[in-house]
Amino acid sequence: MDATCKQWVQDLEKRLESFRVSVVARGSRRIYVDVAPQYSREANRILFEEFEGRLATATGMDTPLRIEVLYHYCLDTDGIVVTLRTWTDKDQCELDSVATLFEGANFIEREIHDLLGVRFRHHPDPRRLILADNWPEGVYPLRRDFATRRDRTETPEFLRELTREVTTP
Amino acid sequence: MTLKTWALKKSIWLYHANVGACNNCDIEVVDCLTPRHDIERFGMMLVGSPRHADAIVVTGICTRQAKPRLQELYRQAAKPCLVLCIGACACTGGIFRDCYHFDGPVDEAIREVDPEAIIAYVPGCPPKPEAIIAGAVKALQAIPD
Repeated sequence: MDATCKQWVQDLEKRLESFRVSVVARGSRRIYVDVAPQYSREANRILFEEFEGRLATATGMDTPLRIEVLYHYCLDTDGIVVTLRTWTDKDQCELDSVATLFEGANFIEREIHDLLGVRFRHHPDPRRLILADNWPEGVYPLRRDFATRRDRTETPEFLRELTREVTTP
Repeated sequence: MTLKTWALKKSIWLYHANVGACNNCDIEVVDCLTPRHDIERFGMMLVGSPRHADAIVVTGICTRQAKPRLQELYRQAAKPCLVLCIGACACTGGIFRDCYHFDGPVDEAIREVDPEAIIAYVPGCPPKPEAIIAGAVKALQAIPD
């Protein structure tokens, strides 16, 4: 970790201390901040307004235990990316919207809602964005329980033929 | 040869429809039209409306959202009309055929509207401009007199 990155980690730890975050640097230009869902909006505000981070994008992920939403901020002066990671459990699946702070988060939060089903509280425009018009409500294609692939456990006919040939003495 | 097929073969006007491509095939289609391959010397020209088109050049996997629109495009084109499926995605669905948004392939979507449609397949990811031109020539040869 180089000195600039270390400085940023210290600054972030100090400023976000009251939210009980964990700040970890991975590599020389990458910082991860884990913040609990109840503080995520405020932490985002601080990163955007006080650290002058530019929201590059946000990503969502369905992990076995919870759904994670990661906001990636570029600190353009030093070329460092800070990822603010927050989470929500799968039953409730609700987070505070960041789009109320700045317009740039609007579309990406709509997309995360479409694909993973995270509802963003107080989102200014929570309409469907990228799924097809005839896609059913409440079905989220990037969830782990969404069975998209054809049943791969079933052996195709030509393979079964092949195994029969091999096993027959 | 009927008047209709005579007129169709004379100079093919193309309508380019992207129904969920990654843009790579579209670049190759543009490469066909621009000076290096310049298919306009064969009278092939890109037009802005399917009503003026003799051939619909389709790229992409045919997503759920695009499928009814593609079918509407085909309905609007004057018949007889060729369909050129450009690229692996348009031909078969390619690597995206198990995805949640896949609703093709293109030929099935077209055949729902017109079972007799003349469809040419140009596989490749993306296909070379030479292959696209060869595909168009073969489609022209397939037109019944």
